[in-house]
Amino acid sequence: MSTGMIFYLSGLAILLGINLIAIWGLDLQFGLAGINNFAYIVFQAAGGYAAALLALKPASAYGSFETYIGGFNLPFPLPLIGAAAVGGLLAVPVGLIALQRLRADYQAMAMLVLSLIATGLAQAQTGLVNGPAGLALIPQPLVGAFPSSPLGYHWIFLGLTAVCCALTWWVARGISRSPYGRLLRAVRESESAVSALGRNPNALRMTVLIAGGAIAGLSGGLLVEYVTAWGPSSWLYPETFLFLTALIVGGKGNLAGGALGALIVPIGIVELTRRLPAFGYPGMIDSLDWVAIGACLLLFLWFRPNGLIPERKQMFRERSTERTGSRMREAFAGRRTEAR
Amino acid sequence: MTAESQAVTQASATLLRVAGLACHFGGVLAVQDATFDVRRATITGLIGPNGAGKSTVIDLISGRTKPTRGSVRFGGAEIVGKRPHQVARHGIVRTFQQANVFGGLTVLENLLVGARPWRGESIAAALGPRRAWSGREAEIVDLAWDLLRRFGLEAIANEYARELSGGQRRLVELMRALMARPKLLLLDEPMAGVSPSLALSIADRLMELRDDGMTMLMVEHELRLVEKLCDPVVVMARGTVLAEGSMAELQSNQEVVDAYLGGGGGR
Repeated sequence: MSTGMIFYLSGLAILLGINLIAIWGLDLQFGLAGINNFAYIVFQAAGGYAAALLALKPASAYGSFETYIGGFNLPFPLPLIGAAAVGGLLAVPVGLIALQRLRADYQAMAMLVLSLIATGLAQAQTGLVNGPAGLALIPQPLVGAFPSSPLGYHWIFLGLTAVCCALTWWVARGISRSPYGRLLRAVRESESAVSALGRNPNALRMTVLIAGGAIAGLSGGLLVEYVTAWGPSSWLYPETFLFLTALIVGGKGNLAGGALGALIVPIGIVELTRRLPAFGYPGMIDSLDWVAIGACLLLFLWFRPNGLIPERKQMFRERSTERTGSRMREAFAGRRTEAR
Repeated sequence: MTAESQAVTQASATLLRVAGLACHFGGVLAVQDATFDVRRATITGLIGPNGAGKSTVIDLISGRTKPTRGSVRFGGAEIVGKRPHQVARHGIVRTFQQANVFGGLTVLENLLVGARPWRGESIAAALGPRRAWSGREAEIVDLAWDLLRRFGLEAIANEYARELSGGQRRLVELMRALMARPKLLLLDEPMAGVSPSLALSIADRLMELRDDGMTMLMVEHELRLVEKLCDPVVVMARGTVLAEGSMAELQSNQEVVDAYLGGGGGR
């Protein structure tokens, strides 16, 4: 295999890992808790900007060819930690605006509008994050820490991505297998029944919006440190639907489904269309990406709404049949004495 | 027993006191003046023609709807105007007119979500050591199996709730409410849409629960079941409480007969 090919494949593996992190984070919100977070890409973007501003030197160090706030020149892994923190923190105002007092369908609309506003702001505010041109020359982590060739560094970055993937997998798995995860699924199924059982559905949704936001932020941080540039055109609102399509195709509510979706949609479809011979007007192939993704989304919603790997049913086995109904009777017997 | 000590006994026997409760929806007066008590270890019936405000009263008590005025005291604490989850934390658990189950969860999981007290229901617990909540989890799983056996539903424990019949959903909702160990159970037409044989079996379960000391407030249309289960019975019409008493007393009350029992409302 040629060096170029290895470069290409390892790069693809890094992108797959970054997408995987983002998709697992979205799955916690959308698959598990049923939040239609159509602003998900904004959390990734915020993480990206945070990592960039934390890693970059002050603008003057580069001759002020770009303008931005901060530029703290922090070493690894602080920019990534900051990215996750900013993604999580962003969930608080977003949750307060979009999740409270709104029905699920309006929540989705509010989220979409927030995504559009965020893009508008990032483009308009030139002094904040260099406006529409975006940030460039973002330092990569661990450069020079190990003596390595450009390809060697690629492997280091792949390792870093794998560690972040493993961490995200551990968090998402812990959540989905716990009573907390079960409660989130209950919120997805019926908010009114959850509150009738004494839990505050808004507070629960807020917690998972923060957790998913932090994961999105981490994925954004990694992406920015890999591509070393970040601007408003990298995170337009349709990118959220790329992740959503991956979840719907792969199967929401389970980690394997998200992984399969990450492989098929953002990597598979996008790489496949890129390999088509050029035809039609310039940019036709790029547009075809979205046609293919949209068609994929619709086909799955129509014919296989639970995706290729549906959410796994949590089965429980009966332990003993000896004391039929006795514990429940005991539980209520106390009340009888209290009543008399 | 002196009159004073009798009054004290009476007061401690009262679990829920609804007084002067009113609720407007725009210009429409859904509930005008609801005043009644629910005594401990009774099934208090709430009957009346359609539009009398029965379900609205359940919504007002459970915090789903905010009242315009009035008071709801539960075990001495004022709970009016609190949000549904806050009311539930006082120990008032409700069921809904349309059986409200978690369709994408299995029957057993539905029951587990109901169980109180809660452990492991936070991110910290989810990411922390499993042993912090696994013991409690095993306990509530056992409790849920017990309850399923008591209702004769252990065979559907691992079915998705969305795949059940209407009657089974009602039972799941009732069992889930029981898992929360409520002090007061609000039942909004628990027998609606249920086959007659299943309705009788639900009725038997409710009587068992009452005999075990559970307190219930139940909206129901089927008067034969009300007669069998409920004492006292509160009759509502046009948003106000018309009368209160045993079914036998109500049947001899001309006003009640005119407003409800004698008319087209009763079945």
